[in-house]
Amino acid sequence: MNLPARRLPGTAILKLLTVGLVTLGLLMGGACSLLDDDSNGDRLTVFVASSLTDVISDLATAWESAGGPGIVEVVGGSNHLAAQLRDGAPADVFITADAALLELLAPDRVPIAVLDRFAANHLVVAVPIDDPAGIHGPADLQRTDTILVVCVIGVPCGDTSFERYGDLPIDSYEPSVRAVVARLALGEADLGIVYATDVAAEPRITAAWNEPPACPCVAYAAAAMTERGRPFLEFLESDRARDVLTTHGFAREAAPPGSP
Amino acid sequence: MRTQPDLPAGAQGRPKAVDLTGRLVRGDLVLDVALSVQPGEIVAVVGPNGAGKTTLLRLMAGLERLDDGRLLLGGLIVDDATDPGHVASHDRCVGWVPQDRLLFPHLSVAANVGFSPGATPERVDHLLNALDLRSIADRRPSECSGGQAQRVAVARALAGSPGLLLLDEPSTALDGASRQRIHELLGADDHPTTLLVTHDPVEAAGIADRIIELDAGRIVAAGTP
Amino acid sequence: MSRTPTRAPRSILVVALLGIAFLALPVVGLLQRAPWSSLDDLLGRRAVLDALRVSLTVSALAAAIVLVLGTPLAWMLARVDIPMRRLVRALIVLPMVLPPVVGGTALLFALGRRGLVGQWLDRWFDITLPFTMAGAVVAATFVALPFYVMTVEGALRTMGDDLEQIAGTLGASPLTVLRRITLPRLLPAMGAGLALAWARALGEFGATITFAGNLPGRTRTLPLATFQALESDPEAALALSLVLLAVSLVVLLPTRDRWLPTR
Repeated sequence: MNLPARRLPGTAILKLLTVGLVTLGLLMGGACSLLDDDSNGDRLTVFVASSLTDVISDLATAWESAGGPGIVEVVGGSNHLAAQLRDGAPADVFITADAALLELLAPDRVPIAVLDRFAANHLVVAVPIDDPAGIHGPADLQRTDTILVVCVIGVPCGDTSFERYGDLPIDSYEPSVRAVVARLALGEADLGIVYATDVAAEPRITAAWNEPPACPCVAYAAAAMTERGRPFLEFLESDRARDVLTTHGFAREAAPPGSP
Repeated sequence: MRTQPDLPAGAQGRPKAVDLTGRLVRGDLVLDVALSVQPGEIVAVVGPNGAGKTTLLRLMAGLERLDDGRLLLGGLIVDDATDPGHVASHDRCVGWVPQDRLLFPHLSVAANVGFSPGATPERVDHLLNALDLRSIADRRPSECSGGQAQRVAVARALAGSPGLLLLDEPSTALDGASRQRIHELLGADDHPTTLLVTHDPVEAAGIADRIIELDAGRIVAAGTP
Repeated sequence: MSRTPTRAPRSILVVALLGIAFLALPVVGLLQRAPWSSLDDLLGRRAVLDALRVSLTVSALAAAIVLVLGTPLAWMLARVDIPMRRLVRALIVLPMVLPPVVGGTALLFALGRRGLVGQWLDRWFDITLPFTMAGAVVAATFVALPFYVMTVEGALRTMGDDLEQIAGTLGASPLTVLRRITLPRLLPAMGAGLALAWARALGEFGATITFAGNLPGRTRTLPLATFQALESDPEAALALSLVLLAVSLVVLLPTRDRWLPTR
């Protein structure tokens, strides 16, 4: 029996490698198409900022009872969603807490229509329901013996917090406002800056003190990324939608920046 | 024929008597023996493969436990099947040279020989010389030949002045001269009680005070050479 | 000197090559997109240096704890006949299976201010783990420990206890046997396991951000900083990724070679 040559012939490697890569590619492509669900059929794909997590299902119900097709919600931080859209993720509607992000989508993805400032969310300093650190007023924000959590700079909630409150002795920058709410709800933090809607929705937290809603605040913009998304924008302007939004704690429209 | 100076005495290890009446089961082997060995006696253990010779030695060394019966070393009970407590290997004052020698690969020959806490520098020195290991004292076991390794294993077991010496085929890789050296050591004054498993009838006859034959776990014959 | 076998089956080699390509491709992608021209400006930024310092401190401390905690654990699993061994082993593998964020949440429930044990730590000793570097160390240790234990336990099993047995017959007490026979021979595996655990601790993200939070200079490790930068400053994110890559290579490349067993 002949011993195989010590060095493998180059052409043989190339052939085997090509076969191997093609097979791998086919396998992975097949797996991807199995895992992927690009076309949601008739349903609308709506990318929603995470602060709208609770209200979107009620909006969807109202939308469907008005005759609209079902909705598939993709919830996330507005920046995160914008990045995904830029990379080509499919969506019919994008509801962002930061209208400036829409400009960053150009030139690859340009919205077909934009509904700006259709709702607003004000920031509130919140504490766990049992207020373990005894927070009474704005001066307590500067305390160093308490655990204060806010959203990370770069997401709308975080940017707006900084605009409104400036430098604070912060103990953690959470990736989303949901995470801040969770910390407060679990009692792991003493105070945090969240949205008015979060205080309304989460029974385990409460506003630290009473004050009228003020801006800088977050104003939402809705963008239709495809033709199919356009009707949804019209729906958002309807009375039905506004009712749902108000019930959850959203303001009808934002006060102009700088007002008390 | 050279006469060797005697081994310097160790700190411990008067030759021990062995009294075993017991039984243990390991897989297919049922070892069932009653054996008495006098202090300082050298007993050769012969028999076919699988007879239980190695298991017998391991039992004495404390690496196997009796299922039935008792083992006494030096008059003290070290293993009693009815008592969960037993005397561990390191308290038995034995020296064991297994068939596969089990030298410590990360230590030099000299460090191997001197490993036992009871080994004095004088004894180690003497043994290195007596078994012609001086020239390889700094080598690792992996650099030693089979014969050298066997001599190191024997030296290591003797260095700690054991009261009972257990040798499992210690001479298989040795030439005549080396074998002779080991036999001289084994037969020296104040030598420990010794159990020697061997395939070589000549070796058994040459050094042993008594020979016992093991077959299928039982002593089938015993006598003097 | 080792010699490669001359008869390596071709099919094995091809599959192995595919594996290398699969692993190398993302790294190549990273290197290709890296902002090489603005690199030293990006790297000099305080945020990057802070994150580097936090990462190195946290991962080093985690590795130290893993070594101290994991060695006896591995030894016990390999050498002692413990009851419910399977349960213990499942427990050890658990951090590998849990998504890190779930692990971090679980740590919160155990060691957070209102946690099972954490509330006593807070009440009696005024010790808070979340939002501190210590918390980041805890999170990193949690995910890294299994890697070390499994490596060392595997090595102990492979080594067998023959040498320990004979060392015992020569008169060495169990502690002496451990010190003079077991540990010296275990060092290569301990080194390999430690390198693995350290690498895992360095790359840890989910458990850290969930349990310890995210604060520059205190708990924001390189992975956390990278994730944050991805949203706002992709170039900085790339620079941070390169730093992570470089740090890992600096420690892992020379180490592995030195700690291969010599016999």
